[in-house]
Amino acid sequence: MPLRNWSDIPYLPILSLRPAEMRALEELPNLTKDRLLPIVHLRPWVAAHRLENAIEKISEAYGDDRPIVIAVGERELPNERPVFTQLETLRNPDNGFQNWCSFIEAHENYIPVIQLGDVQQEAREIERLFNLGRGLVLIIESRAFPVIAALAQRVGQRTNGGQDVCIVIDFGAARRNHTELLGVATDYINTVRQHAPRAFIALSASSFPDSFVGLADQQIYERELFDRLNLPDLIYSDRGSARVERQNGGGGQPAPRIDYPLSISWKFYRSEDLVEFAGYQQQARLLIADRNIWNPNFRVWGTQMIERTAAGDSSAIGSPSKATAARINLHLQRQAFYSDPNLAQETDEDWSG
Amino acid sequence: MSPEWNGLPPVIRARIEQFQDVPHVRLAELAQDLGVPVKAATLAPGVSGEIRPSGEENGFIIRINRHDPAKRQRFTVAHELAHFLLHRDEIGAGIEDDVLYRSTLSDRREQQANRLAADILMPESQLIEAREAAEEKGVGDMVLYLADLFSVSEAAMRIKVGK
Repeated sequence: MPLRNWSDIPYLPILSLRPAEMRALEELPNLTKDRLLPIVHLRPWVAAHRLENAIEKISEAYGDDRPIVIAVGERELPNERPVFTQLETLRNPDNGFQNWCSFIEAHENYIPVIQLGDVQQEAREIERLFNLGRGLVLIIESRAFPVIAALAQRVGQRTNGGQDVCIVIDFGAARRNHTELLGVATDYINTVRQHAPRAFIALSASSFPDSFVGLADQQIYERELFDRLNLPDLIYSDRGSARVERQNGGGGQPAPRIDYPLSISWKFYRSEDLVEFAGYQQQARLLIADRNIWNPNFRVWGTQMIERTAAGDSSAIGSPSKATAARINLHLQRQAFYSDPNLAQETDEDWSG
Repeated sequence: MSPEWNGLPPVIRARIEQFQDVPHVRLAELAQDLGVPVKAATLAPGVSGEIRPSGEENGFIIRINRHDPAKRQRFTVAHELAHFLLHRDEIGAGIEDDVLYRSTLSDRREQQANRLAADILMPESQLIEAREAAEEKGVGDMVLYLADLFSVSEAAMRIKVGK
């Protein structure tokens, strides 16, 4: 039995191991954590020195034993912190990605993401990870789309046609024209199904914008494409309303902005005249006054953070990072209950002490 | 122990003591035994906890702010249980406690609830035992050590041990 049945999962957010994402995840109701299934790429946790700090953070945010999908993140500019060496060790393909497989084996709640590379090493890796029986994930990013058939075939052949496997087709950064990819996405899905007929498929992308001047709202194009496809055994995935590419500073602090995720769009409240907390408070008040948009019954942490900001609590949202955390928290709740929005509002749960 | 604890009927004190067999008092089980469901919820800003009629005959329900730190959540639950034990007839349509444990009840009532909450979370017998063991071990910061052991804030423990 895999750790989670893919047929039970409505939402596979790909989350970065960064403070905003982890806080947003941590503050979700347990019911929501049990419903969605995050994919987290390992990377250094803020300024911490060791990989163990990142692992601890994941446990803190999502629970010690709740199943979670774990991948090795992309190489980042290294420095002297040992975590970079530890991550490099996990990427080593020798002996069928032995280090990666052993790492996964040591963490019983981790559902592994396959590392691609030398075909022979990869074959041994897939066999070993598949035999753990926890479920297996392959992420195919857009740069690998030209070889999508070969990748699906390599995994399909070694997993009884994709048994307990989920293959994530990740379009990465999406734009307004994302929905025009309906035909392309259908072709990719059919290709994967041809080579791994038993696999579940997830479709991922992020169209969260990087410029907000004159932008009051935007469709969630990845959701729109997914809905238009309307296919069975297809799982919705995105970046939890974060961008694919990080913005690396420059240009000073952005204008204070409160974002409000709805099911199929984001609303943006951006201060044109005030800075710092005063700007966030102003925009939180405008959002709450917007009776056609604001839902006070949507009782999750992001809602409370916006309410506290509007009430003048400067420890609530006073920085881009906290605004992002609140947005991601709301977005995760919305998308986890996309098919049953009334259930998204039933967030009270038994207190366990 | 506080006058509020001593004023409870012996049978109620005995029921509470069943769940004080470990320093991390089994609070969720105590609430269940008293017939008061406790829910973790996202409450309105500035509200730490509330107790209201549950809709069932003579029934009450407690809701606490799940985004508060864990130790604070435990004190809030104990505080609301204290209202249930001491002020049941005054709960009316509900009591909402803010972050300073102020509500529509009088300050005197709130102080009573705070004292009983402290006795629920930090039972004297456990406290004496833990303190003796800590002294034997040569624990440096006694208040911090005991606060962690009993899962209460340092401030609450400091008041309890009189430091």
